[in-house]
Amino acid sequence: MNQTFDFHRFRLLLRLELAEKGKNYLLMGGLLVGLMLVMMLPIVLISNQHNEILMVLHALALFMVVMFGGSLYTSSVFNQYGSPDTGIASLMIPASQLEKFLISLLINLLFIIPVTIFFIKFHYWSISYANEQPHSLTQKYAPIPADVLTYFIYLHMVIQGSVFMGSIYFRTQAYIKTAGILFLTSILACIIYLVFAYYATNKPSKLVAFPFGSWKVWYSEANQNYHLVHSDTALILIYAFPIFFLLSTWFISYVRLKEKEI
Amino acid sequence: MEFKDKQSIYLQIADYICEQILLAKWPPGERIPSVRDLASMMEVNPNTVMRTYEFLQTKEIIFNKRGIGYSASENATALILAYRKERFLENELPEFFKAMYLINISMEELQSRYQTFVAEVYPEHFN
Amino acid sequence: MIRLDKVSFGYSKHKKLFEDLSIDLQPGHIYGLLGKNGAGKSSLLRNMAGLLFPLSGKVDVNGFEPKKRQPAFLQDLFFIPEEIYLPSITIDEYLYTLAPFYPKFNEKQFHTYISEFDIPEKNKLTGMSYGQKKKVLTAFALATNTKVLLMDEPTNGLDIPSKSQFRKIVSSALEPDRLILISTHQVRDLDNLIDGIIILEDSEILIQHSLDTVAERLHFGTLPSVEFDTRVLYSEPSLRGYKAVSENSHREESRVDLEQLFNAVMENPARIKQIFQ
Repeated sequence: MNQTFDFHRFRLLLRLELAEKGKNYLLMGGLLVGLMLVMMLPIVLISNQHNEILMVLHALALFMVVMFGGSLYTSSVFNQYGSPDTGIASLMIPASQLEKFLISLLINLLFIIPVTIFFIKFHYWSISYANEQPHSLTQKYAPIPADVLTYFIYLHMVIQGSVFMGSIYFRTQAYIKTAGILFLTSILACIIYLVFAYYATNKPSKLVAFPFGSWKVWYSEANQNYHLVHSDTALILIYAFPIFFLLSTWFISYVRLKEKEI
Repeated sequence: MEFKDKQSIYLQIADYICEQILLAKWPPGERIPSVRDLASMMEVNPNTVMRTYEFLQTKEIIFNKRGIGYSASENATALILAYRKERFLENELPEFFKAMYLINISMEELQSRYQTFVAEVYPEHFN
Repeated sequence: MIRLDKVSFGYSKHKKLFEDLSIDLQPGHIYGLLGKNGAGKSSLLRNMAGLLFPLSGKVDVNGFEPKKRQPAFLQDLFFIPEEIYLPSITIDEYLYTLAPFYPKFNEKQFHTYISEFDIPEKNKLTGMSYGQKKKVLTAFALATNTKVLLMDEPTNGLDIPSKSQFRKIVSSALEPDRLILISTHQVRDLDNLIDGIIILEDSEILIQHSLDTVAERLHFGTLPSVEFDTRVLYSEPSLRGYKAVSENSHREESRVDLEQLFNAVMENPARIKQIFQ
């Protein structure tokens, strides 16, 4: 008998997970998708006038629902290992630790990825739909720029990975602790990056630089600025980083699950 | 079954089995409860009942037929009476005599009380 | 079947719960693990189940190292913790989702136990009382037919008739190749059910013997007086003199009283160790 991965046992685990928590997942998923529709549909339904607020609602849906709601959903992924009674029941189920880990990951990804894709598809569709309406002759809606969306997706990956890891790493109030650490780390990273950029560009009068993003540098009060972009090789490395980070968090979560003592 | 404090459990179970045989509830040749069933009924460890059965087997009161189980032997009654008598004379009678002597009960009184007792408790055996 | 070799465990390196424990348990027996509250009974069981890892020493259960929590190990071991959890589904759904994990699970056996425990089968598990849930889990555990069954305070929360049902069912579930280990601080609940005893106190094992051996070496009975009797290890006044535990120098058969044995061990650990060397 294979002690690491067996498809039959994996199927049994999936059935168990759905029987125990399926309703919760469905409820939470339904709530998030519902919220998303409430925020994103008005731009389609209100066809007789142009209103930038409707566009803001889309951006809000991206941050509130996809990012915040998604991470909230992720934070419950290892819930059963949090308290002794459910933790013991889960650890004692005759399946390998890898199978138990992969079930949690699968359940998580099966929700997060479709929700993100749904947002993107629905966003572009609804914007183009709204732009075909009569009112749009004078003013058109501009969809979220592609580079912003790319940046967001990578950020999303980092957050998902962190919350996923945090939910097994911390025994209590995992979400708040993870969010706190993530928040402080990102602020710190931004400051360090900005300071680094400030000195690297020889103390300009104005500077915009986010980690992993391009730089905008002003040397005088004039409107003229320099736009510094990464080289292609640097870009590959930059894009590889969140993926590497995500895989690392998954691996650490797996090790942590293996070493979980109750 | 309520167990007494003093005697070891396996002997108390032996007494119980002997009583069933003496009262003809488990007649010779017929299968008596298995170790597992009796243990479960009495809420005791099966190994304890196993010990009882082995003990009764060495006394030849019961025997084990492969594939069938345990039954009382043909002369179980006589063997039980002998075993019980031996135990009674050794353990209980001295205690009993001691009490009789201390509270001054005469042999005559004992005899009449004994007869009334048998008549009341086991009327079918009284003739 | 369960073998511990010089196992130490503690939640920190400085404060060890037990040190250098060695235990050897054989199949075909029901063992009672006794100890005061906080003596480390639960932690010892969890070390055997692979839920806690020893600081040092070797644990071997059924040929596996519990710490690795391999499926083959988990398939042949069931652990009922003191605080149990059952998902909010019906008994049928519970069977449907969990029983397939255990290759030797016997559904007929499960239903027999459930009816012996007087549990209505159609109820949802969450609607049940704590005692009922515990009985469902016990029935399930016994029906998995795992070689090793560990139970932590299984009679906690059971009413008096349920405790009796519990003894009946556990007794009937013992097989020659099965090992049942029950921890409790309510020794009376296990009276006559166990045939081996382990007493854990002050980070060591004071006694680890079959009750037959205990009965050979110790005598349990009533004595008119206990003064000047050096063989007496423990005594308590009773209506007819003193209930006493003493060294069994006359090879007398007596019934082991678990509660008195426990008290004797607590009161006189040094002599007990000497007698049971």
